Amino acid sequence: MIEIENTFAEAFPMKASRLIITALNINWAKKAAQSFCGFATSVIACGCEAGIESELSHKETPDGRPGLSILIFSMSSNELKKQILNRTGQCIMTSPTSAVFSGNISADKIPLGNSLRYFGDGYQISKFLDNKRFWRIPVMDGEFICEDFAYQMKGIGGGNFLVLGNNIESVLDAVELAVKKMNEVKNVILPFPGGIVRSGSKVGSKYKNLIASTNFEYCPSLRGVATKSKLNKDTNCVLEIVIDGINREDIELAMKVGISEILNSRITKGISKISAGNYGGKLGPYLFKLKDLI
Amino acid sequence: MKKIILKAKINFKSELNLKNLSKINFEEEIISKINILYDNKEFKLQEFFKIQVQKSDKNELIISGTNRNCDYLGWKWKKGTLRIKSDVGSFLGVQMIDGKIIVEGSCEHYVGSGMTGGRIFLKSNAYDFVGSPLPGSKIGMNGGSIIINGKAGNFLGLRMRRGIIFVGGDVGTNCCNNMIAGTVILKKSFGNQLGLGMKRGSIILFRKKSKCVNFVDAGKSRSLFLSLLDNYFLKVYSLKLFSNKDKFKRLIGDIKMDGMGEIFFKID
Repeated sequence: MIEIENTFAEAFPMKASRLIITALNINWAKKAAQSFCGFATSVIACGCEAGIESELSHKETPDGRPGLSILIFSMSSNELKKQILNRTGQCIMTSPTSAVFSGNISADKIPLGNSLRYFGDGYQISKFLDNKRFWRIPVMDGEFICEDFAYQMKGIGGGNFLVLGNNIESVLDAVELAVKKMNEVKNVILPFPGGIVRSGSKVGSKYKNLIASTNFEYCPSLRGVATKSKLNKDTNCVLEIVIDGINREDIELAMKVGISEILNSRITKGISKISAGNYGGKLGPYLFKLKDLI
Repeated sequence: MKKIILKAKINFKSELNLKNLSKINFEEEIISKINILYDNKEFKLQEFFKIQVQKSDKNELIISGTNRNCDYLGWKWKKGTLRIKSDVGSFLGVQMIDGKIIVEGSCEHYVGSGMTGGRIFLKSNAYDFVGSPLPGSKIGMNGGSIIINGKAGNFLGLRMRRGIIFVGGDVGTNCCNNMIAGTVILKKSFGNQLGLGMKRGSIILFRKKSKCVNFVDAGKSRSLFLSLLDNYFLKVYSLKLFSNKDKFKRLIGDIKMDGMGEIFFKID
């Protein structure tokens, strides 16, 4: 029997944007998207959190080619702008046959083609379709098509839950199952490698310059040493799934399907508890109570 | 929301200036106060048209019984749909801002001149100067789209700055002359001097261009822009422009003007 701890996950407001990447085939769209989302696991040191939201068929993309929808989150508008521009320029524009379009619309514009067009050195061409401007930048495999602006929207970062168990194999199997199911939920991403994080953090540190440090309460190696360890003697492993989303409901849904998948799976042997990163209200205003989700 | 139906009471034999019809605000009852000019004399709208107002799920002005003497319909049109069930005169949709104009007949000159937004659909033909500057002005069509199912006359897209023109039938001479930007799609034949003095913009031809004196050959190209355009036409106008197998050649010019305009034409 897996225990659901009476606690809550604590999340915080972020700035977000959605981009649509297309390419000649889904393989190259994935390569461009993975490159864009590389080194974007946590705002603690990456500047942004990004991930692939869903795969899009040729009917769902502006240019009729297969593509991917990606979500990117950051703490400030300026950082979001900087990350989107740099990553688009260095990771998408460089990828063969790629094109990039905005996947949402709002009043807050983020320069995309509007800045990248200068790479065309005067040979760039602007096209205006359906009240949107697209830039055609000449590149060595033809043209890189890029929408003039991406758009900023509100997001929520840091939705999470922890899976506690007595061995790494069982816990990893369980969270992998949960991640697979959670990846089907729209409007959310799981920014960490494979959707899973082992180095969960708490707010602050004993060292002045660090904004985050290891979540010692859940480190099995500190059981007995750390004063407030939350692990009993049988718990030797904890893995966390972090969820960023563009609204509260979809983060709740993702958490619910993830936890339910673990509870309903046959490979629960070795899993003892499901908990969540609760920082006592220091981290943010969004609280996701685990008991309410299930 | 309202549907206003106007039926002409007479056959117009002199010029009828319908510019003031664009003052119709679907929210207010001002239609009876609108004056129109017939043979340069002012008349009340109801003297020439039978007016009917109905509740509807969208704002629509439907006019029937007009002919080629009825000018300036849809002038600065910015809201709702204007549906014309017969032929219409010159200056249709001039300086149009937004909304939609649908003409079931043919039009005279200067369709969509100086328009900045909105959509014009012609189910039949248009004469000269489609999307061109108004007489005395320098910049042609500056946004929006014009879809012509039939033929179009000379000087289509003259000094065009922005927007899309699609012509399903033949087009006359001097098409896209001095074009600044925008996109023109020509399904059938076209006259001489195509793209003369073109600075930027795109012309997409489904028939091979015979003389390319002022354009350089940039080789075979299946620009992604064509796929984007195709998808846009399919979504907005339910029109399939190209198939995935279509191949195009790209020409760049007018080189005598240091132009960067492009002509795509379909090759076998």
